[in-house]
Amino acid sequence: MPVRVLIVDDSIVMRMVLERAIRHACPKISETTYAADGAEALATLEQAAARGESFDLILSDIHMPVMDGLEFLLEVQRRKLAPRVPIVMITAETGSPEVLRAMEAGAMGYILKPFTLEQLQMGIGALLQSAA
Amino acid sequence: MILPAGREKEPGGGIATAKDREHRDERWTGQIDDAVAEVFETMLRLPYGVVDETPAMGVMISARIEFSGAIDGDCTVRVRDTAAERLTDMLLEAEADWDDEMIDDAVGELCNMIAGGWKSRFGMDANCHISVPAVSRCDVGERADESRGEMRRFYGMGEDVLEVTLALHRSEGTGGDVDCLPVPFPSRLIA
Repeated sequence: MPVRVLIVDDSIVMRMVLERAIRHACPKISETTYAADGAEALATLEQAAARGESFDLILSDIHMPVMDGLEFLLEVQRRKLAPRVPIVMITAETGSPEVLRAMEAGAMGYILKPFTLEQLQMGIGALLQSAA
Repeated sequence: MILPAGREKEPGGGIATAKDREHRDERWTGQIDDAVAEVFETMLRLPYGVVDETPAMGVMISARIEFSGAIDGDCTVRVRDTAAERLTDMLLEAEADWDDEMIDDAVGELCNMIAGGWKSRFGMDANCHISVPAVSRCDVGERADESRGEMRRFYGMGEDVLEVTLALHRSEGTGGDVDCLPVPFPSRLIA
C-alpha cells in the first residue's frame, strides 16, 4: 500500500525539492499530492475524506498566501480532517512565532530551511517509516 | 530633538554613537554572511565569495521580504535573470529550460531562506513576522528604494553576483538599538 504524503507549499521549487527527497527516502512506494496554500490543502483533505481516503504524512510551509500553515493546522484539527496524521511544519526561521504556536497546537515537528538533501531524506525517511 | 555631537537618531528613536552603529553594522554583516553561506553550502552547493559591488547587466530579478512587529524593515535579494536560472538549476539539481515563474519562485525561496536565516541569527523576539516574498523583474537602472538600503552585500559566483540588502526602519521595545535576545525553541527539529 503506498504511503501518501500531502505537501502544502506555495513555492513550486520547494514542492519539487520536497518531492524529490520523499522519492529518494521512500522509493516507488510514496504518492505525493500538492496544495499551494492552506485553503487548497483543506479542500484536498475534505475530498480525500469523502472518498474514504487519508494521508500518512502532511508537510506544510508556514508562510503562504491565502491561508498560512498555522491557520491550516488549526483548521485541520478543528474540523478533525486528519486525526492521527503527523503534520510537520516547514520554516526558514528558528524562532518563528508561528512555528512555536504550531508546536503548541500539536504539529509533530518542523523542518528548518535551508537543508541538505541528505538531511531532508533522513528526516522524511524516519517520518515515513513511523507513518507506514 | 537636538542630538549631542557624534550621535545620531536610531530607527527606533534611541540615540547611538557612530561607534555603536559601526559595531551594529559589523554584527549584521556577519549575520547576513552566515545566512547566505548556509544557503550556498546546503541547497546550492556552489562556490561563492564576498565581492565588491559589480555593475549589473541585463534583466534583474528582485525578491523582497518584509519584517513587521518588533522590527520594521525588509530584506531584498537581487540577481541577474541568467544567474537566477543557474541558481534554479542548483536548487533543483537539474538543468532545464525553466520558465520565468519557476525562476522567480526560486529567487523568492532564496530570499525567504536568507531573510529567515538572518532573522534567526539576529535573535528576534516572538513578535516579529516576515512576509511571503514579493518578486519583480526590472531592467538595470531601475533599482528601487536604493536610498533606503542600510546594508548591502555582494556575493560573487563565477561571473554572476547575488546582492542582498537589509533595511531596518523601526524597532519596538529595544531601546531603539535594534537588538533582541534569542528565544528558546522546542527541539522537534526533523531536518
